[in-house]
Amino acid sequence: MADQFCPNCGMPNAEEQEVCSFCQQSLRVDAGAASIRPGETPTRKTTAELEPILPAWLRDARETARRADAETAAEEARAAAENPAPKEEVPDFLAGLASAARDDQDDELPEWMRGAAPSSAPAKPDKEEQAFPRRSEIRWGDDQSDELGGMATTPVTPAPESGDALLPWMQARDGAASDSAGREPSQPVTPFLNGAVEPPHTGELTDWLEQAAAQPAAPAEPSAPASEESLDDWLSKLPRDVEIPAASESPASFDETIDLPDWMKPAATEEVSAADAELPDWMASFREQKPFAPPEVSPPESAEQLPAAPAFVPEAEPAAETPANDLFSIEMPDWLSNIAPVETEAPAADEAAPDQPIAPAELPSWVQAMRPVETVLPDAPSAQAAVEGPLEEAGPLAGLRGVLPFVGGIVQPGKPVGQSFRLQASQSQQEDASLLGQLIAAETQPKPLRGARLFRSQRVLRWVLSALLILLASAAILGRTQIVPLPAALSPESVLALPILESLPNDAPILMIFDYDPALSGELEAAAAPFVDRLLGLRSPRVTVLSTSPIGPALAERFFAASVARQNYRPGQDYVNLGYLPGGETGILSFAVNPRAALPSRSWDAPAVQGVSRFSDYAAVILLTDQAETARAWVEQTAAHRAGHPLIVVASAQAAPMIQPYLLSRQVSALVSGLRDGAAFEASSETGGPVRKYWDAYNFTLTLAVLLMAFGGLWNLIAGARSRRGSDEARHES
Amino acid sequence: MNELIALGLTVFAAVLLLALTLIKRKSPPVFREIAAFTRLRRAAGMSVEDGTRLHVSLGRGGLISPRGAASLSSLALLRQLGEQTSISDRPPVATSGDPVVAALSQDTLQAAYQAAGAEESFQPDSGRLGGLTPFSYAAGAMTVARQEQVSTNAAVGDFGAEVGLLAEASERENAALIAAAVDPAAQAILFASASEPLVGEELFAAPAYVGNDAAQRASLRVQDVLRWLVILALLAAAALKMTGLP
Amino acid sequence: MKPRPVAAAIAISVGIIILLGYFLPIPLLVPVRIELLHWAVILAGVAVLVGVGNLFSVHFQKLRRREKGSVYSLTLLVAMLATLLVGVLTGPDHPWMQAVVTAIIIPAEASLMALLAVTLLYASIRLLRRRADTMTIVFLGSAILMLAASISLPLLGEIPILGDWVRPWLIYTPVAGGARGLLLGVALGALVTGLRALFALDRPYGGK
Repeated sequence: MADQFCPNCGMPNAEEQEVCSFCQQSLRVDAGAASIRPGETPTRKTTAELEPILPAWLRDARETARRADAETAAEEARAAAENPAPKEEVPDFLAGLASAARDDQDDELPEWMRGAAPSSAPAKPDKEEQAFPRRSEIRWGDDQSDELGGMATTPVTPAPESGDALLPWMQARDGAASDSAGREPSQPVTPFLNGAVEPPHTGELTDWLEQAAAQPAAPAEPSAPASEESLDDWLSKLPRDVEIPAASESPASFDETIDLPDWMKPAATEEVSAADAELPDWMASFREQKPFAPPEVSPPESAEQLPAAPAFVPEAEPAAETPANDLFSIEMPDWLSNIAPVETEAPAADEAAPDQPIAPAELPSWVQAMRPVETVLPDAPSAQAAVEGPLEEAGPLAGLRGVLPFVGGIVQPGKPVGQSFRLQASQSQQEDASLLGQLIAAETQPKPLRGARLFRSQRVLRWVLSALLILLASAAILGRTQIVPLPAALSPESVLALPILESLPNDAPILMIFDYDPALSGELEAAAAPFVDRLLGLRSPRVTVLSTSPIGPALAERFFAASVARQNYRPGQDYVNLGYLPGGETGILSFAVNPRAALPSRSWDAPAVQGVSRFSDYAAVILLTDQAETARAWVEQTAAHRAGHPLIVVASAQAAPMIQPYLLSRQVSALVSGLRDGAAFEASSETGGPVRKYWDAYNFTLTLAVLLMAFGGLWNLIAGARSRRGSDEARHES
Repeated sequence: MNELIALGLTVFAAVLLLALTLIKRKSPPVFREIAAFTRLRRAAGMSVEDGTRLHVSLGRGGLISPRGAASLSSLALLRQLGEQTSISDRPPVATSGDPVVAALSQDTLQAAYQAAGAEESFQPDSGRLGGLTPFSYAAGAMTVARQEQVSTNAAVGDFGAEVGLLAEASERENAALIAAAVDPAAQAILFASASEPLVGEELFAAPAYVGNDAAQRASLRVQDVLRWLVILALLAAAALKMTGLP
Repeated sequence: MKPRPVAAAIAISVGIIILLGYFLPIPLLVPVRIELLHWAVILAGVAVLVGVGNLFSVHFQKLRRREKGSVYSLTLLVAMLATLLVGVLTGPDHPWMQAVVTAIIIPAEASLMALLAVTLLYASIRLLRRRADTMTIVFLGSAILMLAASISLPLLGEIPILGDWVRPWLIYTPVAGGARGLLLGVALGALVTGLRALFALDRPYGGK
């Protein structure tokens, strides 16, 4: 069995081989060539290593963001040095998530979610795990070693370290106020703002972003402490030194300049108070909210009915009374339910201190980028429309007005417009899909076998050929036609037998070997009969019959009884049949060495073999065979024991070409091959024989066969070329 | 003189054969691709997978006949194929026209099964005598090809004109025929009717291509060397004859 | 299975003795060689009986399992036993045996030969449809040429030029040369294969 198989051609090769013997490819498989091995965990990659493969515009954006981040970090450092921000314990309602994130070694959570100190590096895995590269989390904070280089970072106050995980804008008003008072307004840093990179144009939604980016971003004015105001506490945490640009434009003009989606367009225009103008519009709307009257919602009558704070702000009593809180009483996550109530004063009436602008919160830049336009356009009348939105009475947004933009008419009563779910595919994609479908369908369809029509045509052709040959041969034999003349002269190789016959003494012992198959007995008997008949009639030799085939002796008897019956050779007297000589070449050699010992038999006592004790006692050896190998065996094994006596071979036409070399080298004395030489001998003897009966039929069928092969072959050549061309064209078309 | 030349050639071939068999090289010589053997190896694997049978015809010659070498080569090929297909649901069948080769084919298949560790799957009638005469052998081989779910017929050995009947039976059963014979008449018939005929001495290369035996490969190389020697001798003799030198 | 060192030793020693006895006229080897040859003849004769027994066994099993074609197996078994009985009882020279050979064996095999003729003619006609390369065209053309050169036409006899010039030239020149080349190649292959068996590198008698 093969020791190793070539990975290229699959042929077997010895184990020590390095190159395949058949295709000359290397037999050694490079172990490191496989990029992925099953069962192994992927290798961690850092995003910075992948930067060379990023698109150019993304690389530019990252580079710009890094520069801006560096500047911002420097500013923050200066601000922190001047006004150190005291740490405050705030409830970290995201601590649970953060602890889980820390436990997970593979994940790198951003700091604001982790609840860790901004300077603390994210937890890294203890060991270098073989892991697939993950998309690195964007870290928001001071960590300058951000893997992305801080693509769009905003100097957001990191989440407190303790268990409280309130976002900065959710922190207590006092703390936030003190924090925000001393904090400089921070600008959201985006590459788009700087104009260094143009955001990709994705549709109508980005138009207002572009407009927003084009307009100077004015810092929001810091909001005054509003401990006694009626504002929600979380709003009081907003930075107050951010200037909110006044909304100076009317909604109509606003609509003209910026193509907003309908749901973002203001439903009504109202003046924005000066105090409100100082706030971001979406914040100012929380001060003066008019109920945006959905039919099923009734605005609260008094402020006392309003919740003092949003439900998720620690002032849980009013929230607990509202029916909506029942929905969340059970399903509230732990970080919400564990929030300790923060003593805050109830928000004042709506008219209480709307003048004091609320300091805008330090939102992440990605939140800022998603803000509606009216938050940065102080004159946008849509801000007022948002202020007049419905008052939320239940849920986490209880007490807020206009948080969810409600545009009248957005809800159309009646049946919604059906949306088309049709897959938008291009023409080429549809063609590819149909091709794939055909391929898959073809796999499940059974392939038809070779058609019965083909089999029938083959069978018909065979029957036709058989009928033609049988009819022609039968007609010639039964009709006893003799219109084809016998050959006039012997062939050069068979002529050599005549002097041998002349030189034989009378009554000499000769050896006749019948080594042919019954299937070719017709040809061999017809070819040998004229020659043997002439020999027997001329010199009356004593014949010893032998065969290396089990059926040979029977064929010999038939030959003497039928083919040369004219000579009336008697068994035992005129010829002896020694029978079957087993062993092939070994038997031939054994007989050549010692005939009587090789075939011990009582037949050796017959008069026909009197005086024969050695192989060289035979005056001639006549071999009747249909195989060149048999002739070769007798030639080779008896050459040293014949003592120069002739060896005459009577062979079938199929074996004659292979015996020619032995004839030309004088190892065979004469060669009578096939029906043609038998016919020539018969013609020369003028005594008649079996050849004459078959000669016309033989030539007629031979002529027919030649014509069929010539014209039929030509026909099939053309038909085959046509079918191959057709199949090639069909393959190209498909 | 002739005996001396023959003895010298025999000794030279023997020494070369032993040397090339024992010397193991990392970069062995290149053998040209023979499509018939590639197809035969693939057919052996396919017969195991689709539950069909492989029929190996060893020919009508015996080991002690003039074409005994062809029978030896076919037995070596049978050994390789027997090892590869011993796990098949339908094990291979070997038919021959000589009693000695038929008995040896049984022994060869049994050894192949033992080498593959599937001795219990061996059936003694896997090696059969088709008939004592060439055409009766062909009739027996045709019966096997038509009645025993044979997907591939490998006729490698000493054949005569009767191989045409085996080719006809293969075509009727839509089975592939990979054949090699030493008789020129059989080669001519196979060229016209077989799917993958092999010509000349490619029969003796069969065991080396199907299996991986160092001795088989070495014998191919020895044949190549001897062939070149004969070519050079013939050219030299022809040149001497033309120049009139004795 | 354990290797058979005894069988290998016998094969190698007998091969060397026969080979040396053929090439070297060593008097001691001649009788040994002759005796070994006689043993081989006897074993070959016995092998025929073993083969007949194997044939009987295979078809008997087929008949016993009632497999497809078991009717033909039954016919074969009956004919085999009957012929064996007649031959043992009467001898090969008896007219009954001659009748079996003349009336059954020879016509059956001759019919198979005739069938082969039709098969080869059909294969030759369809050859170019299946494979239309240069060698195929040369092969078919040379076959047609040789057959045509062997035809004798009515009243005309052999076709002129084809019969008396082309055919003899083809037989004595390319055919004889090609035949010699084939014989040389086969002889070289047989030589090396025999040496492989002689050195026990190839063991057709089984074993690893």
